[in-house]
Amino acid sequence: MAIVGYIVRRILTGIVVVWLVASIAFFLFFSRPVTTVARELAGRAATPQVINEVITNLGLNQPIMTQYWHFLDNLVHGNLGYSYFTQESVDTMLKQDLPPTVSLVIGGVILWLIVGLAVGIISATRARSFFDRFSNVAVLIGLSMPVFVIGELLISVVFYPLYSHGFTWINTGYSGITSGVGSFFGHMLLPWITLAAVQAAVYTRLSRGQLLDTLGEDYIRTARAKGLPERRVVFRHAVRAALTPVVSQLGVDIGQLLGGVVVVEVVFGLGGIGQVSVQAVEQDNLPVIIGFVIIAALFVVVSNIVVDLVYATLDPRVRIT
Amino acid sequence: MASRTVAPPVTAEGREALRLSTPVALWWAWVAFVVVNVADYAVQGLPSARFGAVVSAILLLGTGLAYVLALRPRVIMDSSGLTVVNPFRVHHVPWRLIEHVGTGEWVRVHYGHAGAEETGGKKLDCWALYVSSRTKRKIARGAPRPRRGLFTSQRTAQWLEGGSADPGYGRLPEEARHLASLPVAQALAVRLDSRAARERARQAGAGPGEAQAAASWSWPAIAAAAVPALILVIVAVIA
Repeated sequence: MAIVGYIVRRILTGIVVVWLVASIAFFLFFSRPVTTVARELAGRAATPQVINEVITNLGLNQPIMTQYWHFLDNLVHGNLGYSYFTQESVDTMLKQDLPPTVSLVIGGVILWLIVGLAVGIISATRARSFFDRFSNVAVLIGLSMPVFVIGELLISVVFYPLYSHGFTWINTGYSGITSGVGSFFGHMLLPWITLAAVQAAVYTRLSRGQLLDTLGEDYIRTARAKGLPERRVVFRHAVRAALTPVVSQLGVDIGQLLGGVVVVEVVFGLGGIGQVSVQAVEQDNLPVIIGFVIIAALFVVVSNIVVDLVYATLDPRVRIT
Repeated sequence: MASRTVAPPVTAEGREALRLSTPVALWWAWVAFVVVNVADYAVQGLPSARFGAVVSAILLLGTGLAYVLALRPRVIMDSSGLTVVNPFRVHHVPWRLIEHVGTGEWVRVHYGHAGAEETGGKKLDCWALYVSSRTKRKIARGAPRPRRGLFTSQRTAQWLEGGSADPGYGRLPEEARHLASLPVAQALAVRLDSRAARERARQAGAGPGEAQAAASWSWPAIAAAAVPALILVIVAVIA
């Protein structure tokens, strides 16, 4: 029962956070002089009359608070507004552009967690071994390589040679899961590896450091002294405690990734909201920018709630009561 | 809960009100937002009467909720005991009934019945002293262990760990240093707990007395949230 109350409280807090973020974004963008957007829409040779007409059509001549309440009213009714340039609904744009980004983030996270945690655990349990030293070097390389370099490298070393020999399963661009699971995996494999390469390095380093600290704790010595098998000591007692900072970091990373995967999206031609939001910022397309800011805030809120629940499961000291 | 009587009036002796600064900051942010709205409509006018009525009702409801949830809650310590002002209820627990003050989702007061052999094991959450998830993690992790860096001498490392034998005027007393290292909510729980222990010890010599916990509904607070909600419903239906 306590957990239901906790989730309800977190959801209510989350709604307040999203409202705050949406409001800040609104005032940040809409309190600027309205002629900037109107001039861009009307074109360079537009007369003042045309510019005024554009301003009136967009409703930008209304008092800022009136615009704000209309914006909130639309938001409550699930309407994020319309693009200034294409008149396309922001909701429709999100429906189109969110799947590639979400697929990229979820697949990338799963891959980097598997690789990062596995290498981190092996390195910590076999500290100063050949594997540990090799993984340290690999982590350094992973951390120093920009994402677009890894992406381009994979395209030229993996994609082109295979494609030229008739192996077309691995491909670029986005193919939704509805058009076939095999095709979906084939299109997403290289982007996932690219995204996971850098992050896996971060998580390897984090999990290795945490696990080494935990393995030096008194309760681990006690567990070993009691004769528990090493596997049980490591996985049941040490890894569980060492995972808690990793989970915290994951919550932050997933939230940030939504806007940060734009490079991978561009390199592999996936589309996605990162790419579209950069374009919206360049064009001063305010409804689209605010729509994406709200979605990003929602991602952060949801990932934080999930992280807190996982944290409470992993660490009995922060159990929800 | 012993009864639904109004909490006894507090005396000025040793009285101290505790609350976190974030809710107060949120309250003032909301007040600023309301002022900006009123100023904007006063200068530029309202697009329609219906619009003005709906926005006014929403602002009124927001103000009521912000008052009840952010500004009103507090914990008051005085010589008679602990008064916990929650959004809709006020609790008063005499010091001698308080067994322990700890942390959960909020700072939590554990108290029992007066003169009972076995304690009642009652819990009272202090809404004003919220413990965030991040704070809970900090509490669970405990104080960070100072690490000796590449350029940290043995002496500095000892000083960081608090193990230095050198006393100094610039150094905080042990208790203050311990409190300063704790997250705010936990530090407040420790303060409340130690005050409860002191008061219990002080009152133990005074002999047995009638001590009962009391709780009451705060009707003004209920009205502050319910009346604007009702107004909003009426405005939404009529307009």
